[in-house]
Amino acid sequence: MSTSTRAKIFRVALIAGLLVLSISGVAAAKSATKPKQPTFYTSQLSVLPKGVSLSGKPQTPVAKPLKKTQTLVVGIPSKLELEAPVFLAYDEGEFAAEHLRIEFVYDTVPDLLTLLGENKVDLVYAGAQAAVFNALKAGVPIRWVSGVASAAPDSGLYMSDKYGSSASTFNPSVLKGLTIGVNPGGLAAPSEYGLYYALQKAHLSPSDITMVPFSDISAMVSALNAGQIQGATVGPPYTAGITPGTAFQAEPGYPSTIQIAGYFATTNLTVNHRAAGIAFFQAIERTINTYLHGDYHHNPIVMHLLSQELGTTTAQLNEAPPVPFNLNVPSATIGALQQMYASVPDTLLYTGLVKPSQLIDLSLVVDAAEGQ
Amino acid sequence: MRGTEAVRTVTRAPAAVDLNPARYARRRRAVGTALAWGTPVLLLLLWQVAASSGWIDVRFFPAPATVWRAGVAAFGNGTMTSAAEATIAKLLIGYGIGVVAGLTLGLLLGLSWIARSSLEYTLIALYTLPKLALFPAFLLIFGIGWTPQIVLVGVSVFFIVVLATMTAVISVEEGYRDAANVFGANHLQLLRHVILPAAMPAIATAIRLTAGIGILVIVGIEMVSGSSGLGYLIFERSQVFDPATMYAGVIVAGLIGVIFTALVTILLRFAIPQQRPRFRRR
Repeated sequence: MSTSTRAKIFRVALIAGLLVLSISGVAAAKSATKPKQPTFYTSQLSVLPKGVSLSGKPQTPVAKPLKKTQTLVVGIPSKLELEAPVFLAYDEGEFAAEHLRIEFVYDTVPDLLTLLGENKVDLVYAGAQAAVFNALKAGVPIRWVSGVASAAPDSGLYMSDKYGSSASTFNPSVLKGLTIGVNPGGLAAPSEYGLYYALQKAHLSPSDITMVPFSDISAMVSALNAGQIQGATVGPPYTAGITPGTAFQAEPGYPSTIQIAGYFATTNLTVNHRAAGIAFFQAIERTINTYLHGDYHHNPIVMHLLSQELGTTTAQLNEAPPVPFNLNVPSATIGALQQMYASVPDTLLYTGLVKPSQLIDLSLVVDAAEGQ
Repeated sequence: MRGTEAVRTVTRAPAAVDLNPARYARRRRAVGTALAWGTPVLLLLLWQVAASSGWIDVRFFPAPATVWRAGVAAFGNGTMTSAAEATIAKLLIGYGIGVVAGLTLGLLLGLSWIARSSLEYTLIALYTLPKLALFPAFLLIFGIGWTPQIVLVGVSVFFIVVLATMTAVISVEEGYRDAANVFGANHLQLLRHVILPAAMPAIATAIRLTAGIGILVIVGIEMVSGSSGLGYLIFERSQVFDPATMYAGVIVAGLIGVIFTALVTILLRFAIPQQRPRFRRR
């Protein structure tokens, strides 16, 4: 082959190679800017997929009205700021934008879980009590479909000032023999995780303390202030009722690695009425992204709406910090809560543990976040 | 002509009660006992059939057999026994205090127009207040534990007994008092031999009714605010989704109510001699 021929071949190969590289580069650039194809999560999803975020910009996810208006019945045990997303979504027309009609049912958590199991309500806002685990094992197809919030900074175990002044100086071994006010259900309720964690640190068991349940949390705070009980597990807004100088926060509510409450549904919603479930959480997520992100206590419109809906005043709402809403349910939650419940006899009524994949199903919130 | 109207004669064949009163009474008692026991047994059978046939969801409404097993297990491990003991103790103490205080004040109000004028309408106003709504105040005054629950039972019983006693004493016929005065009875004799015997039937009815109210109040308050007793057990079992033990607790509470009311009735039968024939024959 002559030199000129080799040179021609080399020039052609060089040009072809450069063309191929250019085309590849353009294709790669285009695919990088192309929106990620969303995935439909039609089966139970117990872990938030990598790269998926349940929070977003205001007014997202965009409303995708259902073809026909559907009704969802939502069970609510009490009106607290933790339930602000659903009430604000209702008041601001976010559900209506999805062609969803929401009916609220107010009752106790055990009654609401019964109604849920009988498909008389579609969603229940509740703590992940031992009842949820027992119901699942008893055959109720209950699913934990979303979380609600990370622990409020001022929630947790409050101890009388006789036993310390701050969490850093508190010695949990002093709990032995003391009387502690707890929420109804005691250690069968996840709101007591802070107390349980303190007992664990001191190598104490629940039988080493006297737990007095209070269905009226204000009365429990009054008893703590009056010295009738030596400690209590309290969350906002009731923490505002603790008289300064009488008690301090000895243990936070729960760590960021677990979730303790949220929305529960059955497979009737996650399978049979899936579109309505996704629409519900589209509205919830859009409400959180638009009205309830960051320090929303500085938003007078939101605070006015909340105070009206919750039957309180803006000043009272401002006595507690804003709720850090978080719809994720970390899978470590399931083991941690079952460990707490198993520490009290006759609380978990089954053998063998519930796995995260049996209870948690984040597919509705994920599909809602991804605009499905 | 007058006096010649037709005389109508009515004849009646002797009924079973006339021919053999003792046998009639025995048969009536037997039928009454059979109905009293048979009705709840029939209801239990219906419940079992409904559960076995799938008419009710046994995950939430377990069958009587399941409730029975749960109840036996709860008695076996001591939880039901200690709960029942706590409830009965609180009930007896609160009920006793309420009845004694109600009788004492009721007699005073019935006998003294000054005391009655001073207190009657205040007591009626306090009686109408919902006692459960006052429970947080009781917690603050009496602290936590059994005391506020016992006080609540006592207060609930007290108002009914005091008003019933006052009314019963006022209602004693003036003629009885006048007759006693004519015979020279002093105040104590009047009270002991005339007023008390005349007023006791109505007072006994109130005492008997408050037996059921006492059990209602103590179980109710234990469900709302307590760490012991049947009410607490019922509430706590509902919190962990254990309907079988929860319903077992409900049934035990009901049985305690029936037994307690029956015991009060039997005690009153001895205390009020003039009520014995009514209790025996009906």
